[in-house]
Amino acid sequence: MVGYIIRRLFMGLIVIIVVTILVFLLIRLLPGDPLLVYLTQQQYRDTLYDPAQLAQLQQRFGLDKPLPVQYISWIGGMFRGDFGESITYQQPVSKLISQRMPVTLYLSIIGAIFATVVGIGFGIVCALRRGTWLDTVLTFLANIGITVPSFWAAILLIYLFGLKLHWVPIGGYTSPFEDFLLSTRRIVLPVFCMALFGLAANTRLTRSCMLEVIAQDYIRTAWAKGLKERVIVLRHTIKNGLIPIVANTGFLVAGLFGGSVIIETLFNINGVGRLLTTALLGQDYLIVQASTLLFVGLITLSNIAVDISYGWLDPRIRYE
Amino acid sequence: MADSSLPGAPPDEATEWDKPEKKYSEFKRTVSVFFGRPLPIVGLVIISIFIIITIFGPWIAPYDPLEMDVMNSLAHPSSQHLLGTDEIGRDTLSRVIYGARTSLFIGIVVISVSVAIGVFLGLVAANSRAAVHHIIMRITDGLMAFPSILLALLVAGLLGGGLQNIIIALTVGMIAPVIRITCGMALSIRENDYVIAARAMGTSNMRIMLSEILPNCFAPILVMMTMGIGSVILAEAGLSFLGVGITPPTPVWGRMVNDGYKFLLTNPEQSFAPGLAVMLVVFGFNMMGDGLRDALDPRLRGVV
Amino acid sequence: MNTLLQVENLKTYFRTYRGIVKAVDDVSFYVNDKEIIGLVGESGCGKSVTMLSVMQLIPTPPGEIVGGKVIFEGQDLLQYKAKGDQMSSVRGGKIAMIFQEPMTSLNPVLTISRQVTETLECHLSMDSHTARLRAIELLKLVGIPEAENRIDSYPHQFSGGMRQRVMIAMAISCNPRIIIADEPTTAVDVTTQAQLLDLMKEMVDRYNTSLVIVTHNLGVVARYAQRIYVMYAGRIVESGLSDDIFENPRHPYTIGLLKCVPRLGETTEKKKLIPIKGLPPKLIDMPPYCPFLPRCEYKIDKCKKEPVSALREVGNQHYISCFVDTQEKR
Repeated sequence: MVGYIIRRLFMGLIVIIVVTILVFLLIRLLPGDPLLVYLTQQQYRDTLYDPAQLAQLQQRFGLDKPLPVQYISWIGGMFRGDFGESITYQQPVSKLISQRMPVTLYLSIIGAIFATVVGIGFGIVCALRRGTWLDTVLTFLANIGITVPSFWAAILLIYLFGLKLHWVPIGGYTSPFEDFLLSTRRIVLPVFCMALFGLAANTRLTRSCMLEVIAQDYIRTAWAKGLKERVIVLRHTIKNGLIPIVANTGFLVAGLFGGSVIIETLFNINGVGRLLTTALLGQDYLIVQASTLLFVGLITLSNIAVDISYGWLDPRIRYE
Repeated sequence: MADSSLPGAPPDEATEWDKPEKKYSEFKRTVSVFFGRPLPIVGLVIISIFIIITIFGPWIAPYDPLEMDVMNSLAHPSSQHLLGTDEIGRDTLSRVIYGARTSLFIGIVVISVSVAIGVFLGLVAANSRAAVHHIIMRITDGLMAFPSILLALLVAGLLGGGLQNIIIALTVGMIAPVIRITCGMALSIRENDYVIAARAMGTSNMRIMLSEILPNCFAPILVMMTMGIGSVILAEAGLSFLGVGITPPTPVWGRMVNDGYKFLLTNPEQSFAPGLAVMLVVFGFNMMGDGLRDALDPRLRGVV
Repeated sequence: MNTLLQVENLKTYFRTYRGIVKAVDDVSFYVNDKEIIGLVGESGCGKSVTMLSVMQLIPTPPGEIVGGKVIFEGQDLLQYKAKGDQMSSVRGGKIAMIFQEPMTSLNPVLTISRQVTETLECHLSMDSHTARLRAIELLKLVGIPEAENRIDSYPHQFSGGMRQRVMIAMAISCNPRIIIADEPTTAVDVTTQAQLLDLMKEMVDRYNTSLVIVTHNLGVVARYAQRIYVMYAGRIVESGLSDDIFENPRHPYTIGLLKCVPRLGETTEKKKLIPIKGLPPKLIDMPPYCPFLPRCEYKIDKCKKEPVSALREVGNQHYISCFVDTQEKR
């Protein structure tokens, strides 16, 4: 087991390195020079920039050095918590992000719990009651759930529950520590919209995995031993059926963070997702770079955690 | 009882009675499984309708999607404008109909390009030495860690809008899963006895890849493509909703939803209609993909 | 000797894409107290489905028990709900089953301990500590070395033969009246086969249990079974005492079957092994005639004109489903 964990951690480390390189290259190699933007957006707005000034700035930001050197110094800065300074906000990027991260994390964690618990629950119900009206309805809803664009679902729900029924306030965010009730009322819709795809995907996946497990020989053995249906489901089916679901958690987290980009913008929530979108549209690349790296790093970490718990669920992997 | 009037009396020669049973063609079985359930048919019908709309859009649409009628802006649905008009008086129904062209075109192009590249890289990764394999697969792992919408958003945001850039952005977002699935499939197929047999006969690596492994990847790739078109259309709608998609005034569904959002209280159909179109198309492709997967699943052979 | 299990006119059909498969068609048999019987037939003849029907373990859909009775201790088991408590207390508690595939019949993510003790806890209401001790005892009994240590292993750490021993331990754990062994030795190698069969014989002798061995291997039943049922295409075609079946087979199928089994003491030069020509029929939409007709060497006109014969007595406890008196013809 220890060897397995070390191997997984090592693989995760490699992925993280690959990811940082990808993020670094993405920003550096694609057209659109951040410095040009800097120059044109700053005090030099509406004036022609001076090539000498550009060279000076390049030197100041270390952009005249070869790419590997730039990469190393960028990574080094990250370890010191230095992500550079935002052009638009005139503030350190690390500060901007750390202010907003709790919001996005809070929404994503609630969303992840919701999508996992409800999705798996629905999936199990569908598999055990296969062919009944309940299965038909839930499976159909799940098919809709993986289909509907999250922003559109959000707009429908805002229209219904916000504008027509006035059940929930529209947009904005309140910390749960300030006013728990208001906070909850405000995050219900965004969390639901962020989690919708994951929930529906989990329902479908759980259903098909459970059905596959139910058809296995060892489930027939369990029946032949005279165990009650409840015991068979709880002890013999769920653990096996959940292995693929756990393996899919990385995608769930990725989906939630990806969703936060759209949903936070739509609901006017001041999180990292919205920061990233506005920064991208305003070409504030240091923010884009840092927040992308943060998202992708967290997803990679959750993938490593998944891999390790996978070994706990399936003894065959553990002893490989 | 003792007369020969019993139906289906076997002929004298046993061999004749024992003739090989009626051949059940695999194709026929696949088709009948696919059409044996309601949802794949619904998917097929939806997609057919949208394809017809795409091809015959100019004849179906009641107005030019770019024609402004400022005097008649934000009109409510009426017999003139079935879905009303937007803030500069363009007919929403016509714009939704024209939006289908952009969506389907992008979906099909992106999925074809990413499957072509992804399958190639996946097969290369599965069949090459450790170093190449690891380089391809680790980059794939890295790309997989990006939420696909985020990756597309980054590329599109950095490249700028426009059809070509959006297609590149979405392709980058789609390619990694294709590589991973193809590589995994190729690796497991390679363990099959018939591939080992081919290798034992001295068949070259290249030939094995093309004649043994690739054909066996066909069914899963087909399913992947069908489902993939849905996700590409969904992602494209997300991008254009955020304003990094196709440049206006070309009608695209995502941007229409966003444009209509401002008038949600007074003209909800401005947002609802294009979003519903996205949902229907994606639903159609997903259901067709599900149906194809079940129909092509060899484990279900003879059971269903 | 009293009858423990009496199966009457059992019919189990499967609905498939190609038509209805009559996997078990009008099968009747009985099992007496402390008796070992064999159910023999080629793969696909419905012998496993018969036994799964007795236990109500047929996956529904596509399978369905459409008729018949399974009388056990005076009760028709088919009256019980397949997933109900009454049926559950019979399964494992009164009738236990051992399956063919030791590789897949044990749950890969649960320890051996968990899988053996749960039967004890379920039927004998043991607490977990007693159950564990008893489980170790059982594992020792079926010949698993170092049972105390190995009980916490997972199935993939056991060999096929060892897993089958675990299955046997689970089967005997609650002192059932009948053990049904469905091809128990097919998937293990020959030396292990004999060990497992001897073990099962020893266990049923020790606990006064009846045993039903389902197999395609005539050699297996010859040594152990007192009575034999021969199945072909979903029907029982011959039944009788073991010796009678082997010395004096009467149904053309059984005759053919025995001709292709090598026997000790008969060199191949003297007596060639003769395979049965043709293939068993696909069970889809069968005509009402004798299913063996196309391959039969003894067929007469009557066979082609009348539906298949009911079982008729041809000797002491000896029945065949055939119009032809094969003894005369030979």
